[in-house]
Amino acid sequence: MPGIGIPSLASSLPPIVKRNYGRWISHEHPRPGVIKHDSESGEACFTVRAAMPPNARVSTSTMRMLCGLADEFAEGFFRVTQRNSIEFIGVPEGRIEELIARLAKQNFPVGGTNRSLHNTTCCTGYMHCHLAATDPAAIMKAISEMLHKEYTTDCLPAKLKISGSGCINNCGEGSCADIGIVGIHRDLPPVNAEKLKGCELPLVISVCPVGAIKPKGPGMVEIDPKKCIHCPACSVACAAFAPIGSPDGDGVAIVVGGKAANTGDGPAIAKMVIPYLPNNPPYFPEITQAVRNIVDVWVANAQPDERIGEWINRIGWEKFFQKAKLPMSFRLVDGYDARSLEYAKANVRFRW
Amino acid sequence: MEKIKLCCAKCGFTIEEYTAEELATVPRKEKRYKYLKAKSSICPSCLASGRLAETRVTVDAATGPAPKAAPASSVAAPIAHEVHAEGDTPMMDAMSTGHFPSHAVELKKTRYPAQMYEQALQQRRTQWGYGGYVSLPGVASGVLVRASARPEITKGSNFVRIMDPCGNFFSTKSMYALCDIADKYAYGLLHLLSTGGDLELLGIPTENLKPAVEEITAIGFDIGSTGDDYRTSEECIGPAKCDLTLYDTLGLREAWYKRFLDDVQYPRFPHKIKCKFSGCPNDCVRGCQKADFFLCGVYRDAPKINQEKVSKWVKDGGDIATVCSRCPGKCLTWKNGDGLKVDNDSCLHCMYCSNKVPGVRPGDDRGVAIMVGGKLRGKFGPMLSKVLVPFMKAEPPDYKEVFDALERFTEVYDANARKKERVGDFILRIGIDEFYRLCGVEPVPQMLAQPRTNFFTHWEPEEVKDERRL
Amino acid sequence: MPTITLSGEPFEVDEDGFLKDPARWNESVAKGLASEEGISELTEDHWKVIRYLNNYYKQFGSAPMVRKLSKETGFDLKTIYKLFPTGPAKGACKLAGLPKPTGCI
Repeated sequence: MPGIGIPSLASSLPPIVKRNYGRWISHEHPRPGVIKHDSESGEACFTVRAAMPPNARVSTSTMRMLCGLADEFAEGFFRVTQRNSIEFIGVPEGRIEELIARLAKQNFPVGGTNRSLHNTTCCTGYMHCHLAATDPAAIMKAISEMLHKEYTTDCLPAKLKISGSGCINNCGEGSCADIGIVGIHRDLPPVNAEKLKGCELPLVISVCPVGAIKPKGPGMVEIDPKKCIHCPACSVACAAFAPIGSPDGDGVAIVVGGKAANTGDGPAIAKMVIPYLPNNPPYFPEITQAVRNIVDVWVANAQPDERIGEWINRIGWEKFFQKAKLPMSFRLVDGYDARSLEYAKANVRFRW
Repeated sequence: MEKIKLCCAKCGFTIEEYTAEELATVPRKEKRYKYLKAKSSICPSCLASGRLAETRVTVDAATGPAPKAAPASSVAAPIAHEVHAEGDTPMMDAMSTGHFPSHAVELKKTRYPAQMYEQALQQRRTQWGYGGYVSLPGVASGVLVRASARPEITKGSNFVRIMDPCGNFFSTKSMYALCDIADKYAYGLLHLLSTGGDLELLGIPTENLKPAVEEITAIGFDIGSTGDDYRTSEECIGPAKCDLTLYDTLGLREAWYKRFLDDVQYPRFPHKIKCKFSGCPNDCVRGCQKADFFLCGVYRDAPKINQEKVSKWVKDGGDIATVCSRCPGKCLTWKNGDGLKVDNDSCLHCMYCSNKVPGVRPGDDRGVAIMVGGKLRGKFGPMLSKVLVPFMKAEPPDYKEVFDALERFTEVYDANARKKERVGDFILRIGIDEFYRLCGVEPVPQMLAQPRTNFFTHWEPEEVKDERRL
Repeated sequence: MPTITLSGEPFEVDEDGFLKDPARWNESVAKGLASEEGISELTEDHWKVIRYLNNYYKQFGSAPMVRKLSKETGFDLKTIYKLFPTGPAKGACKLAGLPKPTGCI
């Protein structure tokens, strides 16, 4: 039964890591998808990084196959990265090509290092979530296919991260990435009077960010349709406000320029540039084309080491919208939160 | 074009929709239509059960759903929109080809109810439902249920959250054992890394939950991280395989679990709390965006430069001009013969030069900064975390000073926040200045983005008296 | 909807055994549901927590936070989890007739 804690460090680290723990002095990228780390002991460690299926969903049979490769090439250990790639660590230099070929045979492309598209991440979406307004896993699959060349070659100005969230709860980290795809609802949640009996009404009223839920007689509430921002906070707090979502109401918003590193212009949350695109499974053509467009404009205009957010900071939002040929709309201007006036320009330093 | 809809008699939710033409020409559709009409169904929307009501509407063919646009990807072929047998998965098949591994292929290799996903894609809305409850005596956290809105496909699905080992390193031995458990009790499907840093096993029937949890703990993994507790902490790869890390993130996380395991497994806070540990300002775990409490490795002295290595890198074609011009503090200068010089007064210690140039390493005066209040949703939307303590020594093995501070700050949140209020929202409500005071941290200029521009500050009468006496 | 009969009285419950109408709660409900939540016998300590939760819910319409529950009943967190092995937010609330906890967010 629970209470034992996580597995010990000693049992989960591969031998080459144990020998050189904390002794690494430099790293380089010999080829896309392969990273070389040098230790002060003189030992070099080669890491081979491969993409995994969207949302890191693998069947046990595929996992056993990958474990077999780890046994054969990486002393029986592997690692899952923050961006849902799988890493084989300590692969002998002479056997790297063999491992890459073996992975390719199983449809696991190697890449996603340095100045390339890093593996996409997303939440579970339609696969296993009741709030999803879109299916980010399918979108990420379509985007990965479209940007296959960008994944396997170092052809971009800087690294590119694309993430997708099924709804604005953002479990898939859309707002963290250079390009984020975030599912949005546009319909009004229902109010099921029967189920409301089993609700904590004060909580439901307090979780609404805009105060759109108001008491209406004893044990009943109403939603102000003019105020609702479709955020599903009430649906999360109480089943009486569910289900939210409709095939034609749901869709995605596209945000750009998110970044965590303190290099360049420092950390930033991604900003919305397209307020709505429809869901069209299985290939989501509107969404993939919008992403292609933004990537192409960025590649054509950015300087080396400039991620999307930094490129936009340099050229300004007006130039970004002009170059990407995106329509401006008041939906992109935030009038919602307390800092809202900061979203409007307060000077006349325009770029035309 | 006439459309026939089968709807819930109570709430009007459309359960299936056919065209008159389809019903007349496609025997499978007709069979399904008759079957649904004859039986009592449970509405996925309002969960009322009973016979479905039929409505007929005439729609202009042009205003029907837009025809599917051609796929953007060159690899994928357009799917035919003909009628398929129940159990067919045209949407999933459409995403099963290409250069990348496909989740659809993986789902179909397991006992996952593929129609739940297929139907969601066809209907463009999720088929999973709201609510649901599963309790397992002795397990306060780590077990969740996902209800189904399509009980005829699956009744719902329990899953357990397993806390990942440090650095997300797995030995194949432990992974084979996990696969065996997933095959024995669950769908045989692994969610290898959720964005919260857990490994999830889906589809464990309620009666199997107890033996599954027992076997998981028997092979050395532990479960937890659901509910209003500390969620699984995440750390970057740190000293295990990175030359830039400024403290031992893996060791710190192991110590964190030793100290705070109860808070991970027994929910007690107003809302969830996410802790993330990054070894350096590159912030590979995205802690500044996601974590309520974020420990980021920082250093205070100048970067160390090995001139010999830098010169060699430049000679071999390294682009030192770009590095100097893109340095955010504009503190790097390069002259042939003189080498690389750094002006520590304007250095932001951002790691850019260390990332790019072999031979430039972070300095030796190292510690952690404690940041607070990052989140991607909460009540007031995404927020970056704010500096609470700009520098603190992280001393192994138990990191007492850091963890004492973390516990103190959590206590402030626990005692003052409202129910279901994330740390960032709580700070926004009470004011960051008040939060600093409650936490009892020292005011230092490193906390500031900029000082205030208005004069609306409060003084207590005693403070005024004290200042006069001075 | 399923119905359970406790002390000769029928109660409408949902698929997870929660009362449809929390207003109908009485002590027989707690007794009837205890075994599902891993409690073999309801002691005076259990009742103290259950009554506190029920009264709080009647007064404020929501469940108290764990910190408040612990302070007001005088039981520390460990004791509460020992009394209710599925936890205060799940087991204790169910027995006290409070609404079903929802979601993972």
